[in-house]
Amino acid sequence: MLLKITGALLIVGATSWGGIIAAARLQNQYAQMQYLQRLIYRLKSEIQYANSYLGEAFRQIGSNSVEPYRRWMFALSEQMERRNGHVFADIWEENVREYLDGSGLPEDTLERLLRLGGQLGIADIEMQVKLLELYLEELKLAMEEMREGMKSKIRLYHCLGVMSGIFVTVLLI
Amino acid sequence: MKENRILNVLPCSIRILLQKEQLQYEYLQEIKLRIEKPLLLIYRGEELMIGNQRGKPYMVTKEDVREMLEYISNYSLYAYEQEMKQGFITIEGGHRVGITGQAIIENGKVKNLRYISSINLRMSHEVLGCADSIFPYIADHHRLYHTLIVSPPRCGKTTLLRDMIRQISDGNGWIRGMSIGVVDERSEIGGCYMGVPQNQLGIRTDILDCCPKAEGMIMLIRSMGPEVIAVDEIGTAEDVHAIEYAMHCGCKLLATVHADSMEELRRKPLLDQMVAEKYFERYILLGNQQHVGQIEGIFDSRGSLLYREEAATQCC
Repeated sequence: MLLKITGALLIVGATSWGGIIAAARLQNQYAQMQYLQRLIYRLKSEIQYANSYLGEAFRQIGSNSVEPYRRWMFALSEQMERRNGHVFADIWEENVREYLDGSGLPEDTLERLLRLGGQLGIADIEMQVKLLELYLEELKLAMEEMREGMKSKIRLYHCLGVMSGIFVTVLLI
Repeated sequence: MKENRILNVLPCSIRILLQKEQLQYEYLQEIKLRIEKPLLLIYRGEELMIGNQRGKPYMVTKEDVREMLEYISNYSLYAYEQEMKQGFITIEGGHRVGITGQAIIENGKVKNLRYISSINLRMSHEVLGCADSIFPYIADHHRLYHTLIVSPPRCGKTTLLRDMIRQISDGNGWIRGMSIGVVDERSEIGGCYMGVPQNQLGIRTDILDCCPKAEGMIMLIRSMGPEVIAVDEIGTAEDVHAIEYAMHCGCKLLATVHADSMEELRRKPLLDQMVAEKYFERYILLGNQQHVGQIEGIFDSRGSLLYREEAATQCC
Protein backbone atom coordinates (compact mmCIF):
# COMPACT_ATOMS: atom_id res chain seq x y z
CA MET A 1 0.00 0.00 0.00
CA LEU A 2 2.80 2.34 1.01
CA LEU A 3 4.46 1.58 -2.31
CA LYS A 4 1.26 2.46 -4.19
CA ILE A 5 0.87 5.74 -2.31
CA THR A 6 4.52 6.64 -2.94
CA GLY A 7 4.11 5.78 -6.65
CA ALA A 8 0.93 7.84 -6.93
CA LEU A 9 2.58 10.81 -5.21
CA LEU A 10 5.58 10.57 -7.53
CA ILE A 11 3.36 10.49 -10.64
CA VAL A 12 1.21 13.42 -9.49
CA GLY A 13 4.35 15.33 -8.45
CA ALA A 14 6.02 14.75 -11.83
CA THR A 15 3.03 15.78 -13.92
CA SER A 16 2.40 18.81 -11.68
CA TRP A 17 6.05 19.79 -12.15
CA GLY A 18 5.51 19.47 -15.92
CA GLY A 19 2.53 21.82 -15.63
CA ILE A 20 4.58 24.32 -13.64
CA ILE A 21 7.38 24.22 -16.22
CA ALA A 22 4.92 24.78 -19.11
CA ALA A 23 3.44 27.77 -17.27
CA ALA A 24 6.90 29.16 -16.51
CA ARG A 25 7.85 28.79 -20.21
CA LEU A 26 4.82 30.86 -21.14
CA GLN A 27 5.77 33.54 -18.60
CA ASN A 28 9.33 33.53 -19.88
CA GLN A 29 8.11 34.00 -23.47
CA TYR A 30 6.26 37.11 -22.37
CA ALA A 31 9.28 38.41 -20.45
CA GLN A 32 11.53 37.85 -23.50
CA MET A 33 9.11 39.73 -25.72
CA GLN A 34 9.10 42.58 -23.23
CA TYR A 35 12.91 42.68 -23.26
CA LEU A 36 13.01 42.61 -27.07
CA GLN A 37 10.54 45.48 -27.10
CA ARG A 38 12.88 47.46 -24.87
CA LEU A 39 15.84 46.74 -27.18
CA ILE A 40 13.94 47.85 -30.27
CA TYR A 41 12.89 51.05 -28.48
CA ARG A 42 16.55 51.71 -27.76
CA LEU A 43 17.49 50.99 -31.37
CA LYS A 44 14.84 53.45 -32.52
CA SER A 45 16.14 56.09 -30.14
CA GLU A 46 19.78 55.52 -31.26
CA ILE A 47 18.72 56.01 -34.89
CA GLN A 48 16.34 58.88 -34.31
CA TYR A 49 18.24 61.01 -31.82
CA ALA A 50 21.91 60.02 -32.09
CA ASN A 51 21.82 59.31 -35.85
CA SER A 52 24.00 56.29 -35.06
CA TYR A 53 24.73 53.82 -37.80
CA LEU A 54 23.57 50.28 -37.13
CA GLY A 55 26.90 48.75 -36.04
CA GLU A 56 27.47 51.57 -33.57
CA ALA A 57 23.89 51.31 -32.24
CA PHE A 58 24.20 47.52 -31.77
CA ARG A 59 27.45 47.96 -29.87
CA GLN A 60 25.91 50.59 -27.61
CA ILE A 61 22.78 48.58 -26.90
CA GLY A 62 24.69 45.32 -26.49
CA SER A 63 27.05 46.81 -23.91
CA ASN A 64 24.25 47.00 -21.34
CA SER A 65 21.97 44.17 -22.35
CA VAL A 66 21.57 40.72 -20.83
CA GLU A 67 22.47 37.42 -22.51
CA PRO A 68 21.75 36.19 -25.18
CA TYR A 69 20.90 39.65 -26.53
CA ARG A 70 24.32 41.00 -25.58
CA ARG A 71 26.14 38.34 -27.65
CA TRP A 72 23.64 38.81 -30.48
CA MET A 73 24.21 42.57 -30.66
CA PHE A 74 28.00 42.29 -30.44
CA ALA A 75 28.07 39.54 -33.07
CA LEU A 76 26.01 41.71 -35.43
CA SER A 77 28.33 44.66 -34.94
CA GLU A 78 31.48 42.55 -35.40
CA GLN A 79 30.22 40.83 -38.53
CA MET A 80 29.29 44.19 -40.05
CA GLU A 81 32.82 45.44 -39.34
CA ARG A 82 34.29 42.44 -41.18
CA ARG A 83 32.63 43.44 -44.47
CA ASN A 84 32.93 40.07 -46.10
CA GLY A 85 30.45 40.51 -48.90
CA HIS A 86 27.21 39.72 -47.10
CA VAL A 87 24.19 41.99 -47.36
CA PHE A 88 22.78 43.25 -44.07
CA ALA A 89 19.61 41.12 -44.26
CA ASP A 90 21.78 37.95 -44.41
CA ILE A 91 23.95 39.04 -41.46
CA TRP A 92 20.81 39.80 -39.45
CA GLU A 93 19.11 36.50 -40.29
CA GLU A 94 22.21 34.44 -39.56
CA ASN A 95 22.68 36.05 -36.15
CA VAL A 96 19.01 35.96 -35.13
CA ARG A 97 18.98 32.23 -35.85
CA GLU A 98 22.27 31.61 -34.09
CA TYR A 99 21.69 33.59 -30.91
CA LEU A 100 17.93 33.96 -30.43
CA ASP A 101 16.57 30.57 -31.48
CA GLY A 102 16.85 29.22 -27.93
CA SER A 103 16.10 32.51 -26.21
CA GLY A 104 12.49 31.65 -25.41
CA LEU A 105 10.95 34.08 -27.90
CA PRO A 106 7.82 32.65 -29.58
CA GLU A 107 8.26 31.41 -33.17
CA ASP A 108 6.03 34.09 -34.74
CA THR A 109 7.97 36.85 -32.94
CA LEU A 110 11.22 35.41 -34.29
CA GLU A 111 9.76 35.33 -37.81
CA ARG A 112 8.74 38.99 -37.55
CA LEU A 113 12.19 39.85 -36.21
CA LEU A 114 13.80 38.10 -39.18
CA ARG A 115 11.66 40.13 -41.59
CA LEU A 116 12.68 43.35 -39.83
CA GLY A 117 16.31 42.77 -40.87
CA GLY A 118 15.43 43.18 -44.53
CA GLN A 119 14.13 46.67 -43.85
CA LEU A 120 16.96 48.06 -41.73
CA GLY A 121 19.76 50.24 -43.04
CA ILE A 122 17.93 51.48 -46.11
CA ALA A 123 15.88 54.62 -46.87
CA ASP A 124 15.86 57.78 -44.79
CA ILE A 125 15.68 58.24 -41.02
CA GLU A 126 11.96 59.01 -41.07
CA MET A 127 11.16 55.79 -42.92
CA GLN A 128 13.55 53.82 -40.72
CA VAL A 129 11.88 55.10 -37.55
CA LYS A 130 8.42 54.38 -38.96
CA LEU A 131 9.43 50.82 -39.81
CA LEU A 132 10.64 50.28 -36.26
CA GLU A 133 7.45 51.81 -34.90
CA LEU A 134 5.42 49.45 -37.05
CA TYR A 135 7.41 46.50 -35.74
CA LEU A 136 6.92 47.71 -32.16
CA GLU A 137 3.18 48.05 -32.77
CA GLU A 138 3.00 44.46 -34.05
CA LEU A 139 5.03 43.27 -31.08
CA LYS A 140 2.76 45.15 -28.70
CA LEU A 141 -0.33 43.54 -30.22
CA ALA A 142 1.23 40.08 -29.98
CA MET A 143 2.10 40.76 -26.33
CA GLU A 144 -1.42 41.98 -25.56
CA GLU A 145 -2.86 38.88 -27.16
CA MET A 146 -0.55 36.72 -25.10
CA ARG A 147 -1.26 38.58 -21.87
CA GLU A 148 -5.02 38.25 -22.33
CA GLY A 149 -4.89 34.45 -22.42
CA MET A 150 -1.90 34.08 -20.14
CA LYS A 151 -3.63 33.93 -16.74
CA SER A 152 -6.13 31.29 -17.82
CA LYS A 153 -3.43 29.33 -19.63
CA ILE A 154 -1.19 29.30 -16.58
CA ARG A 155 -4.09 28.07 -14.44
CA LEU A 156 -4.90 25.49 -17.10
CA TYR A 157 -1.29 24.19 -17.20
CA HIS A 158 -1.24 23.87 -13.41
CA CYS A 159 -4.60 22.05 -13.33
CA LEU A 160 -3.69 19.82 -16.26
CA GLY A 161 -0.45 18.89 -14.54
CA VAL A 162 -2.17 17.78 -11.34
CA MET A 163 -5.21 16.25 -13.07
CA SER A 164 -3.19 14.23 -15.58
CA GLY A 165 -1.16 12.87 -12.67
CA ILE A 166 -4.33 11.80 -10.84
CA PHE A 167 -5.73 10.31 -14.05
CA VAL A 168 -2.62 8.23 -14.69
CA THR A 169 -2.58 7.13 -11.05
CA VAL A 170 -6.24 6.01 -11.22
CA LEU A 171 -5.53 4.12 -14.44
CA LEU A 172 -2.57 2.32 -12.90
CA ILE A 173 -4.39 1.45 -9.69
CA MET B 1 46.52 51.65 -41.73
CA LYS B 2 45.63 53.81 -44.74
CA GLU B 3 45.65 50.75 -46.99
CA ASN B 4 43.23 48.95 -44.66
CA ARG B 5 40.86 51.90 -44.53
CA ILE B 6 40.70 52.08 -48.30
CA LEU B 7 40.39 48.33 -48.87
CA ASN B 8 37.77 48.10 -46.16
CA VAL B 9 35.20 50.05 -48.15
CA LEU B 10 35.80 48.29 -51.46
CA PRO B 11 33.72 45.34 -52.70
CA CYS B 12 35.38 41.95 -52.03
CA SER B 13 36.16 41.27 -55.70
CA ILE B 14 37.89 44.64 -56.21
CA ARG B 15 39.65 44.32 -52.86
CA ILE B 16 41.26 41.06 -54.06
CA LEU B 17 42.29 42.65 -57.37
CA LEU B 18 43.95 45.61 -55.67
CA GLN B 19 45.76 43.38 -53.19
CA LYS B 20 47.26 41.47 -56.14
CA GLU B 21 48.44 44.71 -57.76
CA GLN B 22 50.64 45.58 -54.75
CA LEU B 23 50.13 49.31 -55.08
CA GLN B 24 51.78 51.96 -52.94
CA TYR B 25 48.71 53.51 -51.38
CA GLU B 26 50.31 56.91 -50.72
CA TYR B 27 50.35 57.42 -54.51
CA LEU B 28 46.77 56.25 -55.04
CA GLN B 29 44.59 59.31 -55.68
CA GLU B 30 41.22 58.02 -56.87
CA ILE B 31 39.28 54.81 -57.49
CA LYS B 32 36.37 55.10 -59.92
CA LEU B 33 33.58 52.55 -60.17
CA ARG B 34 30.96 52.91 -62.90
CA ILE B 35 28.42 50.13 -63.52
CA GLU B 36 29.36 48.01 -66.57
CA LYS B 37 32.48 50.12 -67.19
CA PRO B 38 36.12 49.27 -66.47
CA LEU B 39 37.48 49.89 -63.00
CA LEU B 40 39.71 52.98 -63.12
CA LEU B 41 42.40 54.12 -60.73
CA ILE B 42 44.24 57.44 -60.64
CA TYR B 43 47.70 56.39 -59.53
CA ARG B 44 50.76 58.66 -59.46
CA GLY B 45 48.72 61.20 -61.46
CA GLU B 46 47.94 58.73 -64.26
CA GLU B 47 44.94 56.64 -65.16
CA LEU B 48 45.35 52.93 -64.50
CA MET B 49 43.02 50.12 -65.57
CA ILE B 50 43.07 47.05 -63.38
CA GLY B 51 42.67 43.76 -65.21
CA ASN B 52 41.17 40.44 -64.25
CA GLN B 53 42.89 37.06 -64.64
CA ARG B 54 42.36 36.92 -68.41
CA GLY B 55 44.11 40.24 -68.91
CA LYS B 56 40.91 42.13 -69.71
CA PRO B 57 39.96 45.19 -67.68
CA TYR B 58 37.77 44.42 -64.69
CA MET B 59 34.18 45.46 -65.43
CA VAL B 60 32.34 46.91 -62.46
CA THR B 61 28.99 45.24 -61.73
CA LYS B 62 25.78 46.48 -60.16
CA GLU B 63 26.52 44.17 -57.23
CA ASP B 64 29.94 45.83 -56.68
CA VAL B 65 28.31 49.26 -56.43
CA ARG B 66 25.60 47.97 -54.09
CA GLU B 67 28.19 46.25 -51.88
CA MET B 68 30.40 49.33 -51.75
CA LEU B 69 27.43 51.53 -50.85
CA GLU B 70 26.68 49.24 -47.92
CA TYR B 71 30.30 49.46 -46.74
CA ILE B 72 30.73 53.23 -47.06
CA SER B 73 27.47 53.82 -45.24
CA ASN B 74 28.21 51.16 -42.59
CA TYR B 75 25.06 49.36 -43.76
CA SER B 76 23.11 52.46 -42.69
CA LEU B 77 22.29 54.71 -45.63
CA TYR B 78 19.73 56.58 -43.51
CA ALA B 79 22.57 57.95 -41.35
CA TYR B 80 24.10 59.65 -44.42
CA GLU B 81 20.94 61.29 -45.71
CA GLN B 82 22.37 64.83 -45.47
CA GLU B 83 25.65 63.84 -47.12
CA MET B 84 23.83 62.00 -49.92
CA LYS B 85 22.05 65.27 -50.75
CA GLN B 86 25.43 66.85 -51.36
CA GLY B 87 26.52 63.92 -53.50
CA PHE B 88 29.33 62.62 -51.34
CA ILE B 89 30.08 60.83 -48.09
CA THR B 90 33.27 61.30 -46.10
CA ILE B 91 34.57 58.05 -44.67
CA GLU B 92 37.01 57.19 -41.89
CA GLY B 93 40.37 58.79 -42.64
CA GLY B 94 38.79 61.80 -44.37
CA HIS B 95 38.56 60.10 -47.79
CA ARG B 96 35.69 61.45 -49.90
CA VAL B 97 33.31 59.13 -51.72
CA GLY B 98 31.43 60.88 -54.55
CA ILE B 99 28.17 59.30 -55.70
CA THR B 100 26.01 59.81 -58.76
CA GLY B 101 22.71 58.30 -59.77
CA GLN B 102 19.17 59.50 -60.20
CA ALA B 103 18.30 62.51 -58.06
CA ILE B 104 15.07 62.51 -56.06
CA ILE B 105 13.70 66.05 -56.08
CA GLU B 106 11.39 67.57 -53.50
CA ASN B 107 10.31 71.22 -53.65
CA GLY B 108 12.91 71.86 -56.32
CA LYS B 109 15.78 70.60 -54.17
CA VAL B 110 17.69 67.34 -54.19
CA LYS B 111 16.24 65.14 -51.45
CA ASN B 112 18.32 62.04 -52.05
CA LEU B 113 19.90 59.86 -54.73
CA ARG B 114 18.74 56.48 -56.01
CA TYR B 115 19.85 54.04 -58.71
CA ILE B 116 23.47 54.79 -57.84
CA SER B 117 25.56 54.16 -60.95
CA SER B 118 28.98 55.65 -60.19
CA ILE B 119 31.19 55.90 -57.14
CA ASN B 120 34.41 57.88 -56.98
CA LEU B 121 36.69 57.33 -53.99
CA ARG B 122 39.08 60.28 -53.55
CA MET B 123 41.93 59.77 -51.13
CA SER B 124 42.74 62.31 -48.50
CA HIS B 125 46.46 62.94 -48.20
CA GLU B 126 48.23 64.16 -45.13
CA VAL B 127 51.52 65.90 -46.04
CA LEU B 128 53.35 66.88 -42.87
CA GLY B 129 55.47 69.98 -43.36
CA CYS B 130 53.81 71.23 -46.55
CA ALA B 131 53.02 74.54 -44.81
CA ASP B 132 56.65 75.17 -43.72
CA SER B 133 57.39 77.74 -46.42
CA ILE B 134 54.36 79.97 -45.77
CA PHE B 135 54.83 80.64 -42.06
CA PRO B 136 57.31 83.55 -42.51
CA TYR B 137 54.52 85.34 -44.40
CA ILE B 138 51.48 84.58 -42.26
CA ALA B 139 53.06 85.24 -38.86
CA ASP B 140 54.81 88.29 -37.49
CA HIS B 141 56.43 88.46 -34.05
CA HIS B 142 54.63 85.24 -33.11
CA ARG B 143 51.32 86.83 -34.10
CA LEU B 144 49.18 85.11 -36.70
CA TYR B 145 47.44 86.99 -39.50
CA HIS B 146 43.85 86.29 -40.58
CA THR B 147 44.58 84.04 -43.57
CA LEU B 148 42.49 82.88 -46.51
CA ILE B 149 43.67 80.03 -48.76
CA VAL B 150 42.40 80.58 -52.30
CA SER B 151 42.50 77.58 -54.59
CA PRO B 152 40.73 75.78 -57.43
CA PRO B 153 39.56 72.21 -56.62
CA ARG B 154 42.24 69.50 -56.34
CA CYS B 155 45.12 71.88 -55.64
CA GLY B 156 45.69 70.79 -52.05
CA LYS B 157 44.00 73.54 -50.04
CA THR B 158 42.65 71.16 -47.38
CA THR B 159 46.05 69.47 -47.12
CA LEU B 160 47.73 72.85 -46.63
CA LEU B 161 45.10 73.98 -44.11
CA ARG B 162 45.53 70.74 -42.16
CA ASP B 163 49.29 71.21 -41.86
CA MET B 164 48.87 74.88 -40.92
CA ILE B 165 46.47 73.83 -38.13
CA ARG B 166 48.95 71.23 -36.88
CA GLN B 167 51.88 73.65 -36.83
CA ILE B 168 49.92 76.51 -35.23
CA SER B 169 48.58 74.13 -32.59
CA ASP B 170 51.98 72.64 -31.75
CA GLY B 171 53.92 75.85 -32.33
CA ASN B 172 57.04 76.26 -34.48
CA GLY B 173 59.91 78.73 -34.99
CA TRP B 174 57.53 81.37 -36.32
CA ILE B 175 54.63 81.04 -33.97
CA ARG B 176 53.97 79.91 -30.40
CA GLY B 177 51.51 77.06 -29.89
CA MET B 178 47.97 78.43 -29.93
CA SER B 179 44.65 76.86 -29.03
CA ILE B 180 42.79 76.30 -32.26
CA GLY B 181 39.18 75.35 -32.94
CA VAL B 182 38.37 73.51 -36.15
CA VAL B 183 34.88 73.26 -37.63
CA ASP B 184 35.10 70.23 -39.90
CA GLU B 185 31.76 70.18 -41.68
CA ARG B 186 32.69 67.38 -44.09
CA SER B 187 35.15 65.48 -41.88
CA GLU B 188 37.92 66.20 -44.37
CA ILE B 189 40.33 68.15 -42.20
CA GLY B 190 40.56 65.79 -39.23
CA GLY B 191 39.17 62.64 -40.87
CA CYS B 192 37.40 61.95 -37.59
CA TYR B 193 36.27 58.50 -36.59
CA MET B 194 33.72 58.58 -33.80
CA GLY B 195 34.70 62.16 -33.02
CA VAL B 196 38.45 61.53 -32.76
CA PRO B 197 40.65 63.03 -35.52
CA GLN B 198 42.64 60.42 -37.41
CA ASN B 199 44.93 63.04 -38.98
CA GLN B 200 47.52 64.95 -37.00
CA LEU B 201 46.05 68.29 -35.97
CA GLY B 202 48.30 69.22 -33.04
CA ILE B 203 48.07 69.19 -29.29
CA ARG B 204 45.97 72.34 -28.79
CA THR B 205 43.24 71.55 -31.32
CA ASP B 206 39.54 71.13 -30.57
CA ILE B 207 37.50 69.78 -33.43
CA LEU B 208 33.77 69.97 -34.11
CA ASP B 209 33.07 67.18 -36.56
CA CYS B 210 30.20 67.17 -39.10
CA CYS B 211 28.97 70.52 -37.82
CA PRO B 212 27.73 73.35 -40.07
CA LYS B 213 30.48 75.97 -40.25
CA ALA B 214 28.56 79.06 -39.17
CA GLU B 215 26.93 77.37 -36.17
CA GLY B 216 30.16 75.56 -35.29
CA MET B 217 32.29 78.72 -35.21
CA ILE B 218 29.91 80.37 -32.73
CA MET B 219 29.69 77.21 -30.63
CA LEU B 220 33.50 77.01 -30.45
CA ILE B 221 33.87 80.65 -29.42
CA ARG B 222 31.33 80.19 -26.63
CA SER B 223 32.52 76.82 -25.41
CA MET B 224 36.27 76.51 -26.01
CA GLY B 225 37.59 80.08 -26.27
CA PRO B 226 39.97 79.36 -29.17
CA GLU B 227 42.68 81.81 -30.22
CA VAL B 228 42.39 80.62 -33.82
CA ILE B 229 39.43 79.21 -35.75
CA ALA B 230 39.91 77.13 -38.92
CA VAL B 231 37.23 76.27 -41.47
CA ASP B 232 37.25 74.74 -44.95
CA GLU B 233 35.41 75.96 -48.07
CA ILE B 234 33.55 79.05 -46.95
CA GLY B 235 30.97 80.61 -49.26
CA THR B 236 27.52 81.15 -47.78
CA ALA B 237 26.15 84.31 -46.17
CA GLU B 238 25.98 82.49 -42.82
CA ASP B 239 29.68 81.59 -43.08
CA VAL B 240 30.62 85.21 -43.80
CA HIS B 241 28.60 86.50 -40.84
CA ALA B 242 30.11 83.92 -38.51
CA ILE B 243 33.62 84.85 -39.70
CA GLU B 244 32.92 88.53 -38.98
CA TYR B 245 31.61 87.57 -35.54
CA ALA B 246 34.68 85.43 -34.81
CA MET B 247 37.04 88.20 -35.91
CA HIS B 248 35.26 90.69 -33.66
CA CYS B 249 35.66 88.24 -30.78
CA GLY B 250 39.42 88.43 -31.17
CA CYS B 251 39.94 85.07 -32.85
CA LYS B 252 42.33 84.68 -35.75
CA LEU B 253 40.75 83.09 -38.80
CA LEU B 254 42.13 80.43 -41.13
CA ALA B 255 39.81 79.58 -44.01
CA THR B 256 39.80 78.21 -47.54
CA VAL B 257 37.73 79.16 -50.55
CA HIS B 258 37.35 77.93 -54.13
CA ALA B 259 38.65 80.42 -56.71
CA ASP B 260 41.12 80.30 -59.61
CA SER B 261 42.73 83.65 -58.94
CA MET B 262 42.57 86.76 -56.79
CA GLU B 263 40.51 88.43 -59.53
CA GLU B 264 37.93 85.68 -59.35
CA LEU B 265 37.85 85.98 -55.58
CA ARG B 266 37.13 89.71 -55.88
CA ARG B 267 34.21 88.90 -58.19
CA LYS B 268 32.64 86.35 -55.84
CA PRO B 269 29.43 87.51 -54.21
CA LEU B 270 29.72 87.98 -50.43
CA LEU B 271 33.47 87.43 -50.46
CA ASP B 272 34.17 90.51 -52.59
CA GLN B 273 33.06 92.67 -49.68
CA MET B 274 35.33 90.82 -47.26
CA VAL B 275 38.28 91.40 -49.61
CA ALA B 276 37.39 95.07 -50.12
CA GLU B 277 37.04 95.66 -46.40
CA LYS B 278 40.34 93.86 -45.78
CA TYR B 279 39.04 91.31 -43.32
CA PHE B 280 41.81 88.91 -44.25
CA GLU B 281 45.38 90.08 -43.85
CA ARG B 282 46.98 87.34 -45.97
CA TYR B 283 45.83 85.39 -49.04
CA ILE B 284 47.57 82.20 -50.14
CA LEU B 285 46.83 81.38 -53.77
CA LEU B 286 47.39 77.74 -54.76
CA GLY B 287 47.70 76.16 -58.19
CA ASN B 288 48.78 72.92 -59.82
CA GLN B 289 50.72 74.02 -62.88
CA GLN B 290 54.03 72.50 -61.79
CA HIS B 291 52.70 70.29 -59.04
CA VAL B 292 49.66 69.99 -56.80
CA GLY B 293 49.83 72.50 -53.97
CA GLN B 294 52.09 74.96 -55.78
CA ILE B 295 52.03 78.34 -54.05
CA GLU B 296 51.27 80.80 -56.83
CA GLY B 297 51.38 83.72 -54.49
CA ILE B 298 51.01 85.02 -50.97
CA PHE B 299 49.35 88.43 -50.93
CA ASP B 300 48.70 90.96 -48.19
CA SER B 301 45.33 92.63 -47.59
CA ARG B 302 46.03 95.27 -50.28
CA GLY B 303 46.84 92.57 -52.82
CA SER B 304 50.60 93.13 -52.90
CA LEU B 305 52.57 90.01 -53.72
CA LEU B 306 54.77 88.89 -50.82
CA TYR B 307 55.97 85.51 -52.06
CA ARG B 308 55.74 83.25 -55.11
CA GLU B 309 57.02 79.69 -55.25
CA GLU B 310 59.82 79.46 -57.80
CA ALA B 311 61.40 76.06 -57.40
CA ALA B 312 59.30 73.02 -58.19
CA THR B 313 59.25 71.64 -54.66
CA GLN B 314 56.72 68.91 -54.05
CA CYS B 315 54.03 69.91 -51.62
CA CYS B 316 51.08 67.56 -51.88
